[in-house]
Amino acid sequence: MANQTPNQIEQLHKALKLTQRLRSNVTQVFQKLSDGFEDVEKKDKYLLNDLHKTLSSVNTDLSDLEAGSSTLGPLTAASNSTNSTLICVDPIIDKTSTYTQLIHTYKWTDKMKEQASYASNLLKENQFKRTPIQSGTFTKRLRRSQPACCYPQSNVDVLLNSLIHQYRDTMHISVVRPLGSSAVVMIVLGKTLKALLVLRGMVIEWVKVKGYTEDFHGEDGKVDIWSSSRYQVFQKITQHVTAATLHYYAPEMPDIAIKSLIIWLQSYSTLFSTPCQKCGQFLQNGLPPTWRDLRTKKAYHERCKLMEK
Amino acid sequence: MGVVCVYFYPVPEGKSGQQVVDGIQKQIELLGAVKTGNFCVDCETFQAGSGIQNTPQRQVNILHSSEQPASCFAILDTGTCLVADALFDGLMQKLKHYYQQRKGSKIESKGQRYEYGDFIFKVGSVSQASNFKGILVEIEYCPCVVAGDCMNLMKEMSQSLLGSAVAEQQSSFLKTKTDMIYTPADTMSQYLEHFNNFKKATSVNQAMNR
Amino acid sequence: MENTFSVGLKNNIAPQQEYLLQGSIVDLHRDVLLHRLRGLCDNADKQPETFSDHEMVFVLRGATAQQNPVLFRVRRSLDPPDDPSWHIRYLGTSEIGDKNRHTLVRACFDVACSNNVVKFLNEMGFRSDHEYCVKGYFFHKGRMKVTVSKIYRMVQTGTPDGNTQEAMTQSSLVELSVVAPAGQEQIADDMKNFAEQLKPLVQLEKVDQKRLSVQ
Repeated sequence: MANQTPNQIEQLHKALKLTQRLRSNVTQVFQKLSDGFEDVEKKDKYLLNDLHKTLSSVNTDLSDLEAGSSTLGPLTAASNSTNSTLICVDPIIDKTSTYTQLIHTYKWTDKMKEQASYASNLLKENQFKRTPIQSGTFTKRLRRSQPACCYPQSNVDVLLNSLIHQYRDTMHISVVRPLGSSAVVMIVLGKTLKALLVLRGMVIEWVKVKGYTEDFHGEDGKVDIWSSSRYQVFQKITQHVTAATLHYYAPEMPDIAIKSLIIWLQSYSTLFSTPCQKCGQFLQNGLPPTWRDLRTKKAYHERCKLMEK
Repeated sequence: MGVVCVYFYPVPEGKSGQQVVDGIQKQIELLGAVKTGNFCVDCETFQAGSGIQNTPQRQVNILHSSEQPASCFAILDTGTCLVADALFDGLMQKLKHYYQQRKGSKIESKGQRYEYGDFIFKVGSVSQASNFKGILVEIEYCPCVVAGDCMNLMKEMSQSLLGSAVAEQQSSFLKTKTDMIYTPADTMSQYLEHFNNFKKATSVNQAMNR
Repeated sequence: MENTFSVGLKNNIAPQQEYLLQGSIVDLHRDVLLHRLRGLCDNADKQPETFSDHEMVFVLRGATAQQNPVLFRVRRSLDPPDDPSWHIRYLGTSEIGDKNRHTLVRACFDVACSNNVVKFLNEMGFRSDHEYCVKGYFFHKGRMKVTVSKIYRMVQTGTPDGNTQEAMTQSSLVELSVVAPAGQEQIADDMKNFAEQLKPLVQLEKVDQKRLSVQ
């Protein structure tokens, strides 16, 4: 029902009005007939005339209605036969607003779909590609693949175990799940820094970077994902890594996103020992080069990075 | 707590120690550092008497630092450094028949403490028995825990603050510890190295004056 | 700058005196005592804490007879074997005192220290005298500490693992102690009262250690 065009809805309104008129006219006819005819001899002409007039108006109303209903066609919502139509039939409909809200939501979704397809068309024209998706297959593949946030725990574990194995020489990765399925990945990179990633399915939801001497466990021994490092340099890196998670975000291949972020994160092992590739200095405002280029992984100061581009 | 370098800052002829300290402090304040109180590192030396069985006569240096107020650092002349509770001073008193405190051996570095970003600067005037001995400047870079990683970074910082002549000196002690995790005990060993140099310089001067 | 120790001494807050009562119980009845202690002490709702320590006693001897040897007891916990915490304990000679004092009193310094303490003491001239393991239970009530422990002889020196230890006796040592700043004599009364409540399971007394060593 929700996908009626405004025009059709107007027609529907018209048809409803016609039905009402038809009903009232028919009632009038029967009313008159039931009232009976007094003094038939004197007024028979007049009475017959009257009856004829009302009957003919019933006739025109009926034909109007028939003409109108032919344009409407069958009701699509009924053919959907989803549960939502049952709500529509429910007599309590007047008391609850569920159905209207549902329709509202449908409209929103439609609108969003429409705009998303515009956006995808626009993005296709753009040279800059974040995801290696071939044009044209966008909508189809999206529907087929699983959303990245809904990967089962076992898949995530397989990925994380392979990472733990692959990078055991350079970083120590450990995984805990303090609250059900969401994995908290703790990475110790050499003796330089510690990073914490919170995953929802395979999507990186939250990042914190701290110093080697700092801990991600609160005083009560529970994992503390909120508190920031007490050192400025790691607060800055937290910002940069968060930005990088957005850069590497790939809903189509979430495992690639995590892998590439971790490879990129490795470049921070030389945080204190590499000078900025732009200015050649170690320090700028008391901070070492905290930015690593997303492709070349070269070290830059935050401000030097802006000048490079 | 991070990696610390302690630099000896020479006092040029014709200037008083206080003038030089003021100059360094001004330089640090120009950088944008904030004063965060005072600091003090002190060192007492205990010498073994002749009466210990089968052991060469050792020297124990007991150091305290205001940065680690509950700890006490005991460094033997072999280089072994024991980190203990401040109550260790009480244990040394129990050993007074074996290890005697050298008269007038107490030497300390005292002064202003500054913070700048992740750096801590300490400008200390060294004195022994209320005689001014020289100036030690301590630069600490807190986020890093391996001395080897941030040596060049430290050098850059010390160059801009203290000039390249001072920045060139690197503690022989730090060179041996480039890969290990840096601890406060390493800072104390650096101070001891400098304190011993000051004491040596004094005895050489005295010998020359004679 | 005054160091923390001298400040502590001046204000008399540095804990340096140990008040001690000792007794023993046959292993057969040990569980009854543990049960009783659990009820009397703090944290009755939890299982009693266990401990397992390795103690090495080091001695510094003078070349001449006039110099009294000094004993340092180096203890480390064996419970988390990968990360032991070390400390040095110095115990003075114990004073029995007169009848008015209910406990043994001796000087006591407990100093936590880094794990290179054995090397440090050896270089200072200390020599290892003897070593043993202590395993048992630990209770506390306020600042009173109660331990019920067994002492094990080390068959092999230096390596305290389960196979190389043998129990010294068929009974457990029971110790009630408080380490406090000097001059807090009223603690002895509290300890006396507590010891009364453990009778007749165990008789906690001040044991004259001088007489023990003579025998």
